[in-house]
Amino acid sequence: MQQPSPTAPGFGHGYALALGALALAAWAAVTGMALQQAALKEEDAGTVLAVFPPGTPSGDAFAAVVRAGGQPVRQTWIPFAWVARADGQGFVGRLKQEGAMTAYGELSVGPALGGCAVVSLDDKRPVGFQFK
Amino acid sequence: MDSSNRADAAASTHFWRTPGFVIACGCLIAMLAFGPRSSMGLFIKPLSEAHGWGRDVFALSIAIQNLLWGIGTPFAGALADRYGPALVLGISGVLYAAGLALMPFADNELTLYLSAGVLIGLGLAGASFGIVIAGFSRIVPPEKRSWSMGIATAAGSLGQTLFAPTGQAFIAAYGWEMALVLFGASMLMIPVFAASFAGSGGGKNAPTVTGADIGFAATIRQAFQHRSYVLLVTGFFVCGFQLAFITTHLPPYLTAAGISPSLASWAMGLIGLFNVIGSYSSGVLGGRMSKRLLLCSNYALRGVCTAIFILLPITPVTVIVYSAAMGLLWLSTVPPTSGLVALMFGTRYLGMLYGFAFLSHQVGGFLGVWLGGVLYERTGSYDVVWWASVVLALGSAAVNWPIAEKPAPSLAAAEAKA
Repeated sequence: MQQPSPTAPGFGHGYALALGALALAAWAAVTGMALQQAALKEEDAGTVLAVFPPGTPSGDAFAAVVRAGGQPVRQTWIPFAWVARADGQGFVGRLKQEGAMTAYGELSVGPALGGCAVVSLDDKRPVGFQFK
Repeated sequence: MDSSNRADAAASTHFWRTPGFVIACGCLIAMLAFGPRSSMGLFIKPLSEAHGWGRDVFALSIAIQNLLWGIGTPFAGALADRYGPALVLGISGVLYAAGLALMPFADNELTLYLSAGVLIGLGLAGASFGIVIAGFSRIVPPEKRSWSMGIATAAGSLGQTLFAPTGQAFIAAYGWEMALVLFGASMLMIPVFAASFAGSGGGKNAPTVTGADIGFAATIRQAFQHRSYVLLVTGFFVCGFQLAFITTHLPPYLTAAGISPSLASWAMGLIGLFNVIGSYSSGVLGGRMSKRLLLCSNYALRGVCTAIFILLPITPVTVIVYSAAMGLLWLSTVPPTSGLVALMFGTRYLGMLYGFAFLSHQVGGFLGVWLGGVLYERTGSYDVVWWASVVLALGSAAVNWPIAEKPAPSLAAAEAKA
């Protein structure tokens, strides 16, 4: 069997960056596809996570939720995403008319971090970590 | 064309046998293996509610998982040292996949302990970055070893950062049961990537493998008789203690101090992001400067940063700066620790000897979580544990200081004999 050369191969920071970019691209594709599947239909209502274009000021997003006939429930860790509630059909459609990009149902939002030794089981953590 | 020329020509076309390709596959394994375990918290509520279980059932299964991960790592490392990383990574990937895929079908407590606890714990022991690092050390030359340890650790860090939002998206799109099955299916890619190690020339007698072939028992005996190794393993305990304590107890500590939930979430995200940068940088630095000094600096900085953080009033600025600093220091102990093990005893038994260090880390992690909760309940604040964390970090810097950064006498004697 051919053994790889024990001399220093020509990979370094560029190689690491390219590998990282590749992994990020694959992750973005898979997660994006799942998020697309998870998006609510325009006729849906209830408690939703309304996502506005990145950079939308929190106050503007709040006002848009109110204009759509919804009640802002709470802000998430992403400033342009609000948990909002409204009964009656078509709430998601109205949110989109007011500028929301999309809306999701039961979606816990927030970074979860595992060290190399632990999984946090603390469900009393701040609402920004998980909303249910 | 003579045989060596034919072999060279074959190698030039078989890119999958090159170290670069194997390192890419190893990094993907580290990413995959570290991902789902950091997303387990997402499944507590739906799984417990579906079966009417209390949180204690899920908690015990995760405790079993962490215990087996720690205890299993030296054994998985030993098997990788003996039979090569491909076999161990491959089998562990299948166990991991089976554990995840069986979790939704666990209709009683015992089957949850077996799937989420035993199968995933054993899968983690054999598929996480400790085994990948041991595999890399067999295919890269010594001057690239630390870099390879850094990139493997950074890949694992990236995996734990990226899998959590993916898990959330999967649950929202397909439901929690299907999300677990999808996670399980993705773990089946580990054996595929692991196959790259089989053809990489990283056998136990490869030119890059150093250290005497004296058997496991003699290696363990020599390692634990070597003062520097014992110091290294002891210091690694503190790493586990701090990471586990911060991961579990920092968010409630911040919100109790009046920090907004949004910023507390960003703090954890920052730790994850800077962890990737810190792990990789640590590997790069480990190839250029003393690994012992790198470790001492890491532990000392953890202690100093934590002391400053708890002494200053908690504000958004201090939270962000502390999170970024701890992120940089988070898993950046791994490349110099594994690098020192390789330096002391060679790479022949690196999987097993790093596994013992990792076991110490896991014991520290268990105590960090547990003591954080117990002392909070008794004293009504986290102050005692924060200060214990500072003292332990500075103590670990002191413990690592006397480490002799050179081959252990047994390795030096074997090399001289050779």
